[in-house]
This record gives sequence, C-alpha cells and structure tokens, in this order.
Amino acid sequence: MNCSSSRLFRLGVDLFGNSFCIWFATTVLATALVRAEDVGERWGTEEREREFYPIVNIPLPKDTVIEAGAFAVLPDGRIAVGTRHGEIYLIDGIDAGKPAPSFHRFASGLDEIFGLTWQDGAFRVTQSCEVTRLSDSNGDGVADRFETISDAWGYANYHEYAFGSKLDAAGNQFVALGLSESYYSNARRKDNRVRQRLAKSWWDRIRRARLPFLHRESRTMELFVQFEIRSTKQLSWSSC
Amino acid sequence: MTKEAPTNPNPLYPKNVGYQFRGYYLDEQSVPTFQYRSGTLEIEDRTIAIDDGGTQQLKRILRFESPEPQTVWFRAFVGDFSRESDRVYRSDRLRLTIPVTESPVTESKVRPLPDDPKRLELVLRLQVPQGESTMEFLYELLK
Repeated sequence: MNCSSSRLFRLGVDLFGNSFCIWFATTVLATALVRAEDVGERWGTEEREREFYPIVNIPLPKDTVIEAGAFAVLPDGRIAVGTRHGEIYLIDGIDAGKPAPSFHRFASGLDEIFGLTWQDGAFRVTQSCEVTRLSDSNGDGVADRFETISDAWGYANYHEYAFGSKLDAAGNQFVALGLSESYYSNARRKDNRVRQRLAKSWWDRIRRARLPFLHRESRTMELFVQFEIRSTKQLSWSSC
Repeated sequence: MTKEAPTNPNPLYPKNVGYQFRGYYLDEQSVPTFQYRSGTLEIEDRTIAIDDGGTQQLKRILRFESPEPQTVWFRAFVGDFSRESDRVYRSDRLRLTIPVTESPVTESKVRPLPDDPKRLELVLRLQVPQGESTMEFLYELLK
C-alpha cells in the first residue's frame, strides 16, 4: 500500500445473524474524498455516479493535509474527519449549496486514524496503536483528554493499520488489523496472544481472500479485502 | 524499535509483564500528563520545563496511587553516564539529580544493559507507600 498518497476509505458492514461480513475498499488516490470526482474520472464512472448521488467539491484550506481516513457526523451536524497524519478536523458548513466550510483542528498527535465515531460527548478514535476516547474537558474546542480504551493487539510496525467500525446496537466496536508486512503477519508470533487468537479464526481466510483483489496500476494500487468472521466474540478485547 | 529496525520484535512485552498505558491529558499549556499502570500501582508522569537562573532543567514528577505498600524498580537513566554522588549522575549531555527530601528511593544500582553491555542503566528501588505519594527528578540539560 502506498501510504504517501491520499486515500479513499469505504467501509460497509452487514450483519447476517451470527455471520459478520466486512468489506474494505482502501484505494490510494491522488486526492481524498473531498475531490471524489477524480475517482469517477479515473474509473470512467463519474456520470453514472452522479445519477445516484451528488458529487460536490469541498474546498480545503491551504497548508492543511486532509488525507482522510475516517468520518463521523456530530449531533450538531458538523462533520469530523480523522486524517492519516493523526489529526481530527471539525468541518462546519459542508452542506451548503456552494460549500465554503470552516475547518477547526480539534486534535493532533494521533497515529493514522482509520476509525472515528461519536459517543456520549466524546470521540472514539481507532488509530494504529489503540482505540482512544478523546474529549474536551474544559470546553475550549480542543481535545485535552486522550484515554486508552484498548491497545490489546500490540503494535509492531507501521503497516499494522487498525480499522475501527462504528458502534453496533449493543455499543460494541470491531477493529480489523492490517498485516504486519505484505503477505506476513506478526500474528504468527507465539508471544502475541491477541493476534494469535484472532489469527486462529480468520487469518488464513483473510490471506486467501485478499490476493485475487490485489493489483497495481501505474500510479495507484488498490486493495480490496473481504473476509468473514463467524463469531463476533473472537474480536472482543479486554478493556484496560 | 529504531529507524534502522522499524519493527518492534515484541510489542506486547510491557503488557505481558503487567504494564498498561492508560492515556494522557493536557493542561492549559498543553503539557501532557501520562497515565499508566504497573500491576496495582497507578502512575501519573509529568515533566515540566524550569528556567533556573540560566540553567535549563526538566522536572519530572511521578505521582503514585497504590492500594498497599509495595516495592517497584524504576529505570531513571540509560546510556554512557557516571556517578557524581548517591543522588547525582551525569553524562556529557545530561545531569540527573534525585532530591533527598521525601524520596522513596531506598537503593540504586548502576549496571550494564542486558541487551547492550556497553551502555549502562541506573535503576532505583522505590518503596511506594499505600495511598497517594509523589517523587521528583531533575534533569539538567548540559548542552
């Protein structure tokens, strides 16, 4: 995966009884979602996409790097964006006919945000190393409390991305872990009990499923992963 | 885990020996206080800058909360350093001072690092009382 470029991250979750399917489409693109027309232009699907939903360009402020990895809608309608650089921006006015939104940096110092949801007045952020609860305790508009909810999986190197789902009806969250390297995972390590436990249930299935979808183009690389988890309990973790 | 070897060979080692990082919070100056747990010992770890008459110092404050009296070992210094006194150690870039007053330090050891014998580590034996307690270190920047 080329991590130096922006990416579009699509996550769909479907529940079928006790079977839980997650589709990941992580696409490295020249720009992020805010310039989604590039996707249609690249794939030749822009006009077809417009038949189903409007595509609007959102101007970005200068000197910001919005490599979007996760989104959340706040109760007041603002959009929160988590970035690969570990920042969270709150965007206001994104729904205007001709949007000229304001961007406010709510948090920084995190590590490749690929999961963002709002719960009880705080963000729940999935970053490479952990799931974190972020809150603004003094009301100045900037996060000042970063509470570790779980880091149970162990983070060995940069390629072990962590992708966090939204919360389900029972308040559970699911985290999918990237491989340690291409075609290799530290889940094989004897001392990594968490990743081993996960590996027993779906590591081989992931590896088989991902290969047919991996292909490379001249400047982009697309990775589609489909895997199935039979029991949601196998992805639970103990809170710290 | 270094730039040359970017993979942590055992990322769960701290957790498997009872250490748990719990997060951090920022004060009005955005100075972080890190929170972690070692066994049953809750720890808050904060470092602030002090400009003391031209000398640049960092004061590190450890705040403990323990359900019972217990002994822990704390690694306070690593590298190529020497001992100036029971309470003062220095390298060519840093001087560490362990304040005498109300210090829970009951023993100190300087020994080679197990995985890098050319470098030293200073480990301190702390007698942590039941309830809340604190200790401080001063790090003076020499360069």
